[in-house]
Amino acid sequence: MSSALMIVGATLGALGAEPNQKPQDLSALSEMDSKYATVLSSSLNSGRHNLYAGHRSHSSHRSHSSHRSHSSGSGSSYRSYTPPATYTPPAPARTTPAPAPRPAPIRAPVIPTPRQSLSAPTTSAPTKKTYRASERDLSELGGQRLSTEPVDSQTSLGADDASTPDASPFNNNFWPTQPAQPPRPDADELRMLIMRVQAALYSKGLDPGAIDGVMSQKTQTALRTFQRRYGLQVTGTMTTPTLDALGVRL
Amino acid sequence: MLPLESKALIPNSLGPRLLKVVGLADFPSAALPCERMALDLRGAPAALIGREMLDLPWGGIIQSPDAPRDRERPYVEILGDQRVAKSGDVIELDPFRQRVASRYRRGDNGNVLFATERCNSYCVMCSQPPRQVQDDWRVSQLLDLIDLIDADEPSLAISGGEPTLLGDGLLEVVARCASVLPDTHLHILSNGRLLDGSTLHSRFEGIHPNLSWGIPLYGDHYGLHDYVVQSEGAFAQTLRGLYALEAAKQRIEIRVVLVRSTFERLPQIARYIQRNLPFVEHVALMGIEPIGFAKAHYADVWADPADFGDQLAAAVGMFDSSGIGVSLYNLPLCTIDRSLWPYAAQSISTWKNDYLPACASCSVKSKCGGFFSWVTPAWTSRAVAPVKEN
Repeated sequence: MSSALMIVGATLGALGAEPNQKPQDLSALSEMDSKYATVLSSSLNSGRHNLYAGHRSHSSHRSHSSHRSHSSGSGSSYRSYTPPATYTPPAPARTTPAPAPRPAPIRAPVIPTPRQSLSAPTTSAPTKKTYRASERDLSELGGQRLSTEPVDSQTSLGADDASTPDASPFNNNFWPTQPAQPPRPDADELRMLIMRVQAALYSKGLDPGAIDGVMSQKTQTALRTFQRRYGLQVTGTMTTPTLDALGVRL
Repeated sequence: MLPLESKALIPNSLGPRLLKVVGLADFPSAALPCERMALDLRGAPAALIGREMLDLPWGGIIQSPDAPRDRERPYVEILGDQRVAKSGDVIELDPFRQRVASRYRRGDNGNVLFATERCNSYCVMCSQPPRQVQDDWRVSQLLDLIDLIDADEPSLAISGGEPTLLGDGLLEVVARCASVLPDTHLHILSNGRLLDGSTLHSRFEGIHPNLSWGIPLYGDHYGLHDYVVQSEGAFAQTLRGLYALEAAKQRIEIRVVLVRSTFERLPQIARYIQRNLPFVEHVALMGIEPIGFAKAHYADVWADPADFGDQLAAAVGMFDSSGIGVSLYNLPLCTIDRSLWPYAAQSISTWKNDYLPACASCSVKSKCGGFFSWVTPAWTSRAVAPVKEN
């Protein structure tokens, strides 16, 4: 019995010394963890351009001026969605700038380097057409409007750029019930992103108000609380570090 | 025991479909299009969910019974056990039968891609009796299902029936797994008979980064093996299939189900494997699952592991000494010798895994695989008793 107690004591003593080893243990742990890193860990949104980082409400869409060409589809796909076998995208109706070919799905947990605009002139292209994102990126946004439509970079984000309703080859495939709705992909994507953020805030025990895709006062307050709690820069907006910490896919 | 399916209210307009269940916590990181997801709103306060959220083109919305709903949206209400679907699972909606069925369970250790109901063997203890039906439609359904499975799923089995009956379809399924779930270990449960004399085996070479085969062998002699699988010539075909797989650089596990006549000759079978199939990576010695044909052939197949402790120990020792990994499946700890405990695996899929009342006071219950949910006294070893640990 006494020897058993001694063993217990020795064990406890060993435990007591642990704080000294902690950094090592932590790094060992994180090293082990990294083997199991999945789509949701660290680099969820790395390499993605966060169009919405500064978004506060619908009144202030000016972020587009900084939006460079994505050199469409440089393979930042962590969990590529392969469309069902029956799905065949129709040929694009428009012949002007063709989207870059879809990259082969990269499945391994490759951490892409930030996208570099290799091709497109970044400053003063005469026609300010850029691709907002590759079709793959958009499909990963959760299957809303799949559009490769060029967006005039001088048009403000939420503006009604509805001049060419059937220009997008992907419009009618995933939204069969609402084919005639004018394409406002940015507004839709923004709403989707806000809903994701709201759902994440709610799941983390905060109160974002209703999950409705509107950046309400309550949602901004919840964002600030979250940012404070996680030691992030407190902006009340959807910065990329905030999205990563929330586990929100951009 | 978890139910595999449940009655449900499903609008007829939906049509049959496979959907990934996505709760509010998973929605923020979900990569699938809404059309392939069922939003799980059970337990969420009604005021929380805005109309804009409900208006997304969901493949389905799982709702609590008391929640308000309208006809336009694809609401689904599960009437039975709510555990049939949880966030991360894949469910199949069947509006014709008004049922929802589980097709993939996140976190479960026994997820199966069910390839076909057909089989070319007719084993005396088959737990999943085959049916001769044309079910090639399963291939496209499996391809759909694979897209919806978690990318960090550790392992999946392809089972049936006899999966190689799908021919090219099986290759398609494996190839899709390789591209969509490259980190998921894939285990094909096949009798290997069709891999003999065809070129099928060679086409699996290099097709998947993490693929292995579970091939059953029930005897060291054709008479015994052919009797157990009730098919003349099966022993020779399976052996040629094993060599074909080895030639195609496949990883192989041999599965020995311990029906009475096999249990009796277990040391001889172990010796046969050791001498003739030294390339196998692992051997699983498996207790019978008391369902299907096994129930009808109780008298012929039941063998109490307590009566065959010597055979079990001899076989395990032989595999051990020859460097072939060996595990004991479906054998409760109290029915085998303590020296064999390290080899016993918790092998029964959680949805059909239970413990007996006698297990309540057992000190090693947490390490023990327990019993199949359908165990009866007749299928219970006389050695079953709580283990008193000091």
